[in-house]
Amino acid sequence: MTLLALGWLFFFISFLTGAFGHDTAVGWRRFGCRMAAAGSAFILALGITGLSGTEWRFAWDIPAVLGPSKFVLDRLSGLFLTMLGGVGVAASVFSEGYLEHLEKRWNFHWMPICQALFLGSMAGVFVAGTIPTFLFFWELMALSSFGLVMLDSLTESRRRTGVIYLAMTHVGTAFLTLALLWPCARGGSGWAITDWVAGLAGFGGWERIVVIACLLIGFGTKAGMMPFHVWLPRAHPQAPSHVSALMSGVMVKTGIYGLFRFLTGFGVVLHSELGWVLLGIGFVSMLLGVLYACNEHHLKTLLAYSSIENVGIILLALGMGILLRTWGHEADAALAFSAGLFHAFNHAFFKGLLFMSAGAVQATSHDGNMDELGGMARTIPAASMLFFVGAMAISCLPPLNGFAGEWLVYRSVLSGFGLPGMASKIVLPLMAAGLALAGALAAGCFVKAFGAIFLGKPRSHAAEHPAAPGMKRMVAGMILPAVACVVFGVFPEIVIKPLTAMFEASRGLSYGPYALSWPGRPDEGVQPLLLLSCLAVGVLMAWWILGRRGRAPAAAVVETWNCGTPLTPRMAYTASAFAEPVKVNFAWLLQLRRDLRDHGPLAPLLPSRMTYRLDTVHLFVDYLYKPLLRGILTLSLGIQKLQAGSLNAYLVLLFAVIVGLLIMGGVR
Amino acid sequence: MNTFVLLIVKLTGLLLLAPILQGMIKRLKGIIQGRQGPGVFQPFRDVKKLLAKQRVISRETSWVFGIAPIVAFAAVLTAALMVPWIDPTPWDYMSDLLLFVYLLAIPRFMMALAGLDASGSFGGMSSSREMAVSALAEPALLLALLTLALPAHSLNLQNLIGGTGAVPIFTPAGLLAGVAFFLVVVAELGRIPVDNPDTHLELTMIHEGMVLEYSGPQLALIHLTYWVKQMTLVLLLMNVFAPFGLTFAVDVAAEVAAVGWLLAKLAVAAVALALTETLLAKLRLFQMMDLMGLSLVLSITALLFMATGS
Repeated sequence: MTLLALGWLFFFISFLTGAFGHDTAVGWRRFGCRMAAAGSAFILALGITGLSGTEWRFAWDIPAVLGPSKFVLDRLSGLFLTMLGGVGVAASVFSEGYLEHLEKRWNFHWMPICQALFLGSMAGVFVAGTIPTFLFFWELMALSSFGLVMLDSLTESRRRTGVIYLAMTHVGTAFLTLALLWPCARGGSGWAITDWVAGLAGFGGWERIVVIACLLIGFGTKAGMMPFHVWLPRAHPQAPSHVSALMSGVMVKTGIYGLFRFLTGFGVVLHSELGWVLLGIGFVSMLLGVLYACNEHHLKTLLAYSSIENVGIILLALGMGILLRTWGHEADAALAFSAGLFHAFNHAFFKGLLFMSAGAVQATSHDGNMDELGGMARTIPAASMLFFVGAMAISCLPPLNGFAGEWLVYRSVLSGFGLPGMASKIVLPLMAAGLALAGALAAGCFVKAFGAIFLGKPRSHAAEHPAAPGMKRMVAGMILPAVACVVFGVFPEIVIKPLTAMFEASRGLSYGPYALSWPGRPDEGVQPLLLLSCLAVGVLMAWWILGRRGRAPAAAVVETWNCGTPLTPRMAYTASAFAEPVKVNFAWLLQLRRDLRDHGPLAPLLPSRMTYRLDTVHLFVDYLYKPLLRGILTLSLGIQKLQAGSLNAYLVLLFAVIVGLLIMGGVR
Repeated sequence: MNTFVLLIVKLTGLLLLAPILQGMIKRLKGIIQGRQGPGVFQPFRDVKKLLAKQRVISRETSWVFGIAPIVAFAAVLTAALMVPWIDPTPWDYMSDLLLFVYLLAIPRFMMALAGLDASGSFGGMSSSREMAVSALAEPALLLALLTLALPAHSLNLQNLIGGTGAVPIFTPAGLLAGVAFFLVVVAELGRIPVDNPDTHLELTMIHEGMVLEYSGPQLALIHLTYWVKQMTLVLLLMNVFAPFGLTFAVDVAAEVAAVGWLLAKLAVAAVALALTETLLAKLRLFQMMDLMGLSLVLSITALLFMATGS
């Protein structure tokens, strides 16, 4: 409790620096960032104590606002608080350097105010023990993040993005409010999460379905699961980079936290249908997410789509766990849930790292369009190396944490193969193939991103800028998540052990002698430390072979071979060009729209000024949201006629309503 | 200690046999095409020559260019240690199927980046194609191996052998998976019909384009990496799908026989690869996706066969 209070206290100080600090004083701003970092450090400590098994409950009466509030710390909240604290410290340190290049552009009052509220409210979401408290922090988090998205809202399109974000997040909250309050109201015994479970148990068939569906929509919107993801690739890129890191790394995970908290935490009786639905949603989010990421040439939008992919993987593990649980394989189910949680944990760190690197790139070049960058490994080498670590982790290359997480997800999908029923035997291997496809596409996607930004020749003047001021502080902020990527890849058991301990069914199982292993299968697993030493031996051998130069002279540095013609930056593959084969392969899914036009005076005869546009149809946006929006607008126009009519029409309406009410009363 | 000695033996054997396998394939290709072809030991001479050459590097390159071949070599070597040679128990701690598949993704990742590093069109073109082809090849590889892993109820490569209780290629599922795996091997090795390993100037090139800027000792290392990868994939194909002559006992005579089988299998693989390279023509780039799609469909069918128990 002390740690939580200290964390909130430091966030509050950071809040005050925003509210009362002078907006041009660098000292104030730095002080604010450091206070946020200190607060996050306390949250990190709180998370670690929670993850290692300390539990506490604390009741605090704030009758006027929320009624009797409860705060609860257990392993599940501990895990998410660790994420929040870790990414929070890194992002706060990073922001100290990152804000320097924004000096003249933004109003620095709102930045610390919203950021402190954002960090504090996320911590609140993870420790809330009663439904009203949970919803209060949930809403505070949504509003403060909206403020952060709108920090730079000078243009119309940016304001529009903000509105979409606000609308989507509130639609989600509306569903969530229904799903969370209804069972409690029915149960009537109180507003704690345990009362919610008891209330749900009293529900019959369709009521349960409605509650679970609303829960899924509410949390899914926040998590960015398809088809409720549309706000995510718009809002994340628009926020300042350290905020994007927090949004993608942690805020998206509040949705995951909610799903795990309410669906797996308290022995809610679940049906296998929910598992299949989650598998399906996970599969679609994963594959479409990574395909859209492949086609994206704006760095931060690419990262946002990749978050959707990773949320898909997490949902896949959650669905698998539910299936295993309904089939009575409690121990395997526990491991599947842990796999999803572990992947969520890892994703927080590597995605946070990647968003911060993207921030370093944007701060240096003032451009996020990868087609205009290039060669930045020379101007910002440290940031390029850190991005490289993140890219390797997200492409699930061993021995980094991305691989450790995906190994467990794979393993949980495959553990369902021995289960009864034909469906599992056919669907589950397809899920494994989908995971492999998504992994390979993600690797391609990040080769593209890294290559287009850091390698080759600069494609524009933007890419030639010297490193942004404050680069050292930015790098300092990025080192923490990069270290986490390596440490949790080589020693995954640090997190997995406490995670599995969360589930009763997994206690007392026999594991193999491996860091990554599966209960009841002592002969298989992965030993990342051994793998690392093998790789080290390989590197030493390669080093030795390269050293056998004999009498050869030192390397000659020349121009890249280009068939004898001078090399220009435009000759290298751009990000868009790199993704072309993938686009062609998946054209049936992406529905490419090519538009080649000639604007010259003698257009069809003499081509002079050509423009080429390639758009992908975003299935859900074009086939779901746009028709839906049009429908709602038509409907409201129809209602408008009724509403803007004469007094007579109102009187008729009023009369009809009264008659209707009388009839209803009479029936009863 | 025993494991350690075995590992040393294995590493040495690997680094000696892998170039010979490449030499054999080249020689056989020459013979089939009515040429004499280079000698079987030519790869050793190539490496020796390259090691003594001066390096010529592009001024556009960054730190990625230097570390890429080293990391790729280390990853491939580690993957090679996981594959069974003459007995089905290579090294308990290091033979996870998923780890194997993802270890092979490391050299691809590194070399694709190295291809982009020099800023030339050829490198970028090849990297882009490599990542697109592998996007389909990787699931096919995984599914082909899973076809054997799921009935064996184990993801350990050593348990795959004999997991179905029969020689896999004599069962419908095993045969389909074996063919799918072979297609993946051809794609991973950049051989015809996916890529042409013999030329730099083919506009359809994949693998050769990425390493275009490398020279001298670094190129030697890249060649060595490629040969070890080739050996690894061939050994896996042979020993998992056609596990003939693997010894299960610790017995000198049996092990000598197993080594004989091993060499015979390598020879068969060399003939098969040389034949496909000679008899088939290079496919157009976007037809390659059909080939990988075919491999994927074959392995899915194999899985369905396996699931229905036929």
